[in-house]
Amino acid sequence: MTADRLAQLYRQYGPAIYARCQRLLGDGAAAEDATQETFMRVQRHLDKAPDAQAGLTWIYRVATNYCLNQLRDARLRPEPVAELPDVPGRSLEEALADRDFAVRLLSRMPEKLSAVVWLHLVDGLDQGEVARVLELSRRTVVNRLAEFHERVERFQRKAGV
Amino acid sequence: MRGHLSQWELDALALRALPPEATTEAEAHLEACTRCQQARASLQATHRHFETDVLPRTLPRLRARREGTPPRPRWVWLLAPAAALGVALAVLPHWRSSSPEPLPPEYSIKGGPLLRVFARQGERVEEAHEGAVLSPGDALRFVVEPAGLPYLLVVSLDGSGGVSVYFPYGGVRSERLSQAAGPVELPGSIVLDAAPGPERVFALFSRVPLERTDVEEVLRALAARGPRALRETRRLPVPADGQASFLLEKP
Repeated sequence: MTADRLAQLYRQYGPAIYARCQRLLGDGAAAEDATQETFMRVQRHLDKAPDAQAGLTWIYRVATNYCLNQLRDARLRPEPVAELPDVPGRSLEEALADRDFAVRLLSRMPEKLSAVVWLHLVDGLDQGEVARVLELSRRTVVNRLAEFHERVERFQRKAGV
Repeated sequence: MRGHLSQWELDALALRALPPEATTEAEAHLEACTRCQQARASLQATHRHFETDVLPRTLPRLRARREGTPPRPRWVWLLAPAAALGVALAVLPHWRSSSPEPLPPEYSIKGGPLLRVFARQGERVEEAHEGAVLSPGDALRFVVEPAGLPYLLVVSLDGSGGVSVYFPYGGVRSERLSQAAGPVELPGSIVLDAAPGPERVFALFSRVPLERTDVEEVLRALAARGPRALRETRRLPVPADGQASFLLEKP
């Protein structure tokens, strides 16, 4: 790939990658680093993508997994608490609009659930879009969301909520 | 009646990645929905910040990574040209084959990992020691002995508070060395710029990668204490399993 083509792809897709990473990591410097890492990983796919929608799919897939792994690495995680964060008077979906809450909750979940939950419940993608982005079957997405909800209910039962 | 636009739809709209029908539907929703208008405005602001601030800084680094050569930073980081490389390597193999001399304690914790610095001044290459006075245009190369610690992050802090990552060059975290024992020559050279005053290089060895952002925070705190603190501080309060540092001065 020529330097000009690299620059062209970065100018075209860089804003979307950066916005995605900032949304997940909530920190300017970390989002900037993640943007570069994500771009280096997807640049060949972006170069060959038949259209911008395919390019965005790659960005979502790679950036979401990369950033969630960064969070799991505990470098950017909010201070841990012993119990599930309290969400009185709000549905789980409403509570997940709070990034800090979403990160703390997902840190207690198995890795395979995080990307599915974030894309569907935080970003608002429907199950079909989640399946396409993560290259999973829709059934797998449905099953993982069900598992997530079961785990949340178990936490709440333990906490007496 | 449809719900709010998802993050995907907002991103795709900005990228012109939605099919025509979906674009029309999304635009119609935006006209009537304050919440989604705000979300789009926020996204547009993030995009503008990227274009004006982030892209100019990061595109050179990406080009350099793609080409396998480090970019030009505050310090010029070059691959040594063939002639100078010949001179430098003439020194380094000799150093490797001879019995290692005991190193001054300022390079290392006794029994721990080591950092050795070689300076090329003109055609002459010599090992530089703590406090060495060097000139703009002089080039440095690093040789480390990791003492079994697989990861390394080499950073520097100068008197004006400037932070650089020398290994992996421009990287965001420690990189695994090619070997965890024996001398390892780090790739590339640093050519000193004209900025005067002290500069300290810290070699941070660890069992797991250290994040640049964590180390930068500590370096900035050190810089705030002034040049004297920079000259006197040989270890950083970071979770490295071994450290070595080297001070140089530019008049």
